[in-house]
Amino acid sequence: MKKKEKETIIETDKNDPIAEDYIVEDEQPEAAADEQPKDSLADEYLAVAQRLQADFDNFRKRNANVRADAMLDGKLEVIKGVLPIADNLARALAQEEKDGGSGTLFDGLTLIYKQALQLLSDQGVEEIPDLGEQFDPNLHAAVMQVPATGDQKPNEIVEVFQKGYKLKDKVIRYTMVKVAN
Amino acid sequence: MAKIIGIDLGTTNSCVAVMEGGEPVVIPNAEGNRTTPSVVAFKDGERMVGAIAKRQAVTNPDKTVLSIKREMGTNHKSVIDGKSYTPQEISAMILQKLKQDAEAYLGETVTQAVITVPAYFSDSQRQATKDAGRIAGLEVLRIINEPTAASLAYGLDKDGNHKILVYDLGGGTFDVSILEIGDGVFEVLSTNGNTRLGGDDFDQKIIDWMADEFKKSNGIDLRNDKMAVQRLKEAAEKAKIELSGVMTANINLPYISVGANGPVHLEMSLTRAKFDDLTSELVQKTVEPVNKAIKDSGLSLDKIDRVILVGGSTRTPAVQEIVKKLTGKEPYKGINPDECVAVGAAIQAGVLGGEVKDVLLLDVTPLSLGIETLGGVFTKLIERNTTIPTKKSQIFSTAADGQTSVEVHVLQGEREMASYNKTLGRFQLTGIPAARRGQPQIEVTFDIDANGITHVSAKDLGTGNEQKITITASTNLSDDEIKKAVKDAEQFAAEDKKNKEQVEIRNQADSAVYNTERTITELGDKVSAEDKAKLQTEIDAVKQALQGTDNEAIKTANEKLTQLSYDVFGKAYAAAQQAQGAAGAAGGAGNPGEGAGAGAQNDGKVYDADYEVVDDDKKKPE
Repeated sequence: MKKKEKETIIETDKNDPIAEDYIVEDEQPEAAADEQPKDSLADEYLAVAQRLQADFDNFRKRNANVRADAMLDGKLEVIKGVLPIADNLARALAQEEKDGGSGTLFDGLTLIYKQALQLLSDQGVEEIPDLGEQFDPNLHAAVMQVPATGDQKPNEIVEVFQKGYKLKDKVIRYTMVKVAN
Repeated sequence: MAKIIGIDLGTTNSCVAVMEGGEPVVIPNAEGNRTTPSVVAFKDGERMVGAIAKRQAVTNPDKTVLSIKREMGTNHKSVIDGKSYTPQEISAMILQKLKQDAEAYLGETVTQAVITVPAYFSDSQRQATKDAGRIAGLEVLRIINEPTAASLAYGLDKDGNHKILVYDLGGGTFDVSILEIGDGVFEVLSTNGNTRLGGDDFDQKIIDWMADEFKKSNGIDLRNDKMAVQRLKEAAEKAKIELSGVMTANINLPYISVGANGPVHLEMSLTRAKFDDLTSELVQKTVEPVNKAIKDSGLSLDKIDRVILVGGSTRTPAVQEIVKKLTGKEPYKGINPDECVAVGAAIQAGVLGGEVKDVLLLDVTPLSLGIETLGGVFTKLIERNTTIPTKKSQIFSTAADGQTSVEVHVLQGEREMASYNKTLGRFQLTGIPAARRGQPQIEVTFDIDANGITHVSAKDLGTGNEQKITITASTNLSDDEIKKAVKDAEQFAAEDKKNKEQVEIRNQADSAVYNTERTITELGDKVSAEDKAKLQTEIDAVKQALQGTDNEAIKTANEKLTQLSYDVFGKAYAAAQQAQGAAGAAGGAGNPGEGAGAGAQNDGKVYDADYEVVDDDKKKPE
């Protein structure tokens, strides 16, 4: 097999002579059929076979966990959909509490909210600590920054726009936060 | 040999791909995402690249660098913590993360890459990109144009000469390019675009509409509520994506804000028509650049024979519509528009690395291959479109007691019933020792070599006797014949399924009768005369039903028999167990086991009902 010189080409004339390589490759099989000695053809085949085998092995290794990963991905999809429902229940309850917080509807909502949280915790989903914590881009996504007031420390999370959740080490939803300067 | 990766180094997002087993594969980053934001940030002496840098950008604006691609080839400096970085150095940081993530995925070091740039990039911009690669520890074997890469991804270099229009509407920029490919060379004929037009603009239109509508009906301007704005942003992006698929998106945001009279909720419906209306101005902005590019290319519209869509925003139906209108052609969009440039770069990388060779052109079997089994069913062994060479074996058995030979009827096709498929050949395997049906193990193997020649063999695993045939005719099917076979299978799928079910019901009932009768004989006097009579009644009922063709009747009769046999044999089993327990002997395991075995087999799920080989000899006197 002809060795192609490795030249790094900069497209000065804005043309891409890509298929040049294809033409070189295309000519090979014909030449091979006529002139290429059996040994070098065999070597070529061996190289291709080895590479394919290696690719396949790696593919296999990488896909060993495909089923488990797919299940987890499926779960995460659903959990992500449940989170806004939990959010809104929390908002409803917060509003009701402001207005006095009693009555059967309030009690009912509270139980439903607990149910949603139970579902999440059963799946191993945990809330990411937020208010008062130091902002950490590994866990939080900052959407606003304000000057620190009172005894707020710099880089402290001063308001939470949306709660964040994680499953073991994987963040399902980053906490949407406002950070003090 | 080390792999060469293909990199789409974008303004807002970057993507990496590599050839694996002859196919381009997008490499996910360490976070598991297939694209990486082109964002770099510095904090407390640490460096962040990608989504994490994006998440802290708001808190660290002076030390977060966005869209550095816009500065490549200029003398712009990013001064951070007293150090001055060139655009190449910042880009190198992005490339370095991409390199590391690729190495983690591939499990080997990566030292070479192909990187893409916009077609309009100048020499100094291209050189800067090459330098960025070098700084990141990558030898950049080739810099190729983004529209060219997209064309490679769609294989447009493989089938002759073309004039291609590439419409690239991505994160923050719009680029249109006209290319010509001829005699193996891509030539850029013209480029145009809008450097400040992208997906975010579409989101903004929805946000504005929601806020305006809400103000009209509730008197509250949500834009004054920072938290509400965040929720609107998320909802807008979600609605936009949904509207690429459905005609209406429902936006539901309870407790969006608090007004004078308490909390307020937002619930709105955005139709695709309305969305198209809101964004028509943006879509219109792409018209002039497209027309200009066509004009500058010197080509007339009808000479352009291929149109490609690149960039996430081309998923928008209105965008696809306008492209169709402007070019008069149906655009190519099968490959993920966020990834096709990286895919093309990987293909080029593959060519440079010697991966893409014509030496091994692999074929596939155009139609499924298999044999005929009990009831005239077609049992597939090799699915259609399986890459060859391939080999597959499966164990079958006999359909009747004392059967000493099996006929292997080899067929090709997609229908469920053998009679509708094409016969490729037949042969017999004889000399099978007489045994109860379902006992012998006959291994049938299909072995297709690289030339498409099929070898079918049947081997009696008990005696080692083997017979085989070689079939060569199967490769001569025309495309039309193949298409018809597939289409017929789809068309008759429901009917075929019914037929197959009928056969299965009969087979199961047949097995149930056989097994129940056998078990009664084996259990002998462990079954009371009364129970025996009851069972016989049910057995006769099933046999009666099998004489006719009413499947429901057969199924019902089978179920009654099965249920009764569970009860009767279950009793016998329990009694036997008690007897064993009393005697304290473990040696009687044979009988209860037998009963349990028979019971299990009587639930109609005996494997041999599905997999028995049809034996014409059954009909002949032995």
